[in-house]
Amino acid sequence: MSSMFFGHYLLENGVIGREALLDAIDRQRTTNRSLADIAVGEGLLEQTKADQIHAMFRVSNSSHGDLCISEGRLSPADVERLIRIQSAEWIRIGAALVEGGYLSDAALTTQLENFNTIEAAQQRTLESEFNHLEESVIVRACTELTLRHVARISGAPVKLQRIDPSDGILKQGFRRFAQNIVGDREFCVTLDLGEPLFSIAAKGMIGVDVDPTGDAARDAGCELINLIGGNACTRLEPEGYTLRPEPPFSCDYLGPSQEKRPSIRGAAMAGDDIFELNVFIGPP
Amino acid sequence: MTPRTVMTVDDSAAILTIIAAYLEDSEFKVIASERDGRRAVEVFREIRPDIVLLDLIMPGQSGMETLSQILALDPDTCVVMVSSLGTEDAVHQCLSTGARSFLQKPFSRDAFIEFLRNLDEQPGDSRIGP
Repeated sequence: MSSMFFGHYLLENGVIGREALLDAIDRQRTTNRSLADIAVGEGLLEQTKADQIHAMFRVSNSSHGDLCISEGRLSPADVERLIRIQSAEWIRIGAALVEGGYLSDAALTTQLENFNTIEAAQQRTLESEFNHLEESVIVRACTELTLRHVARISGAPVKLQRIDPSDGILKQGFRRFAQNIVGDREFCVTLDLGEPLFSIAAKGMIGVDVDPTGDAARDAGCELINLIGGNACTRLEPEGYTLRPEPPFSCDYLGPSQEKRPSIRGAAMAGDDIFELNVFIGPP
Repeated sequence: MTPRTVMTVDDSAAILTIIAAYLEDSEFKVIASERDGRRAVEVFREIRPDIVLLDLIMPGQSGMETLSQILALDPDTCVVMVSSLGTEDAVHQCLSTGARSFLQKPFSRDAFIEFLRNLDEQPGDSRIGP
């Protein structure tokens, strides 16, 4: 079994139904507020300023609290108080299922223990898989940056499920965004996105809805892989690598007879959506 | 106050859109957006913007070649290199060729505008990205 979110684990094991999971996610969306939204509720921030903080959050690596402080909207003491409020009201998926009557407290405790045991084993397996990979430092950097940027752009929780050698083919229904990296190592990093994650990512990049079949969306996907590839070169520099990215490119599903090429493939989830990354080691 | 004029050069239409949106209602005005280095040099010759935001990694004519050609036309031009690549080597190469500063993607709107405001005071490596 691959690594997954707790809600999906319960669903896959027949503990809850899909309706229950969707209802619990909905409860979370209603109850869990960002720090900027809580600040609005507390009269510390205007809604327009909170909207600006949300927009900045999507394109930066800082938390809402840090952004509020750095933008001079809130004091560190305010942020500390708001974090306490946020922690007190925040509900996780298990609590939301209990609140909805889909799970008892006792069942939640048991299921969480089982999940955490499996999850810990999965993490150890993932870690071991990473360490046994060819060019593991490169693969790890590309993987971590992919997860970080997809989470930032999509606004969804992201989790790596598997990382293993693959035939590198692009699956039907996915679009591939790729970037060749050259220098004292040569590799290609790709991001394979299906709908609706592709549309979400394109909107997250540009800030407005875009036609998923149009050039703007394709461009946004290319820019996303460009961030991953460029940032990977930067991150790998202290490890002794001298690398530079080439211009990114995209391709659609190439049909069942597409050429296979060995890669290291990471399968991951952003919320409910699956996406994949590949690192092809060797010359383009 | 007269807005400072900006030309953006990036093969990504997404980035051109983002930068134009970021600079809307600011003291900076985008007067040209180009997706090709060669074409950007031609346009620069005509419009002479106050600031050039120039992508480093572009197909065809690279950002470095474009930088050199723009500076050959006007060595005092304020050219800011913009890239997701922020290695010491890349930054050093750009600054030693004559770029005023280096901006690493991604960046937020407010940080970006603040960066442009401080260009005159703090030239050099200004990586505000990750």
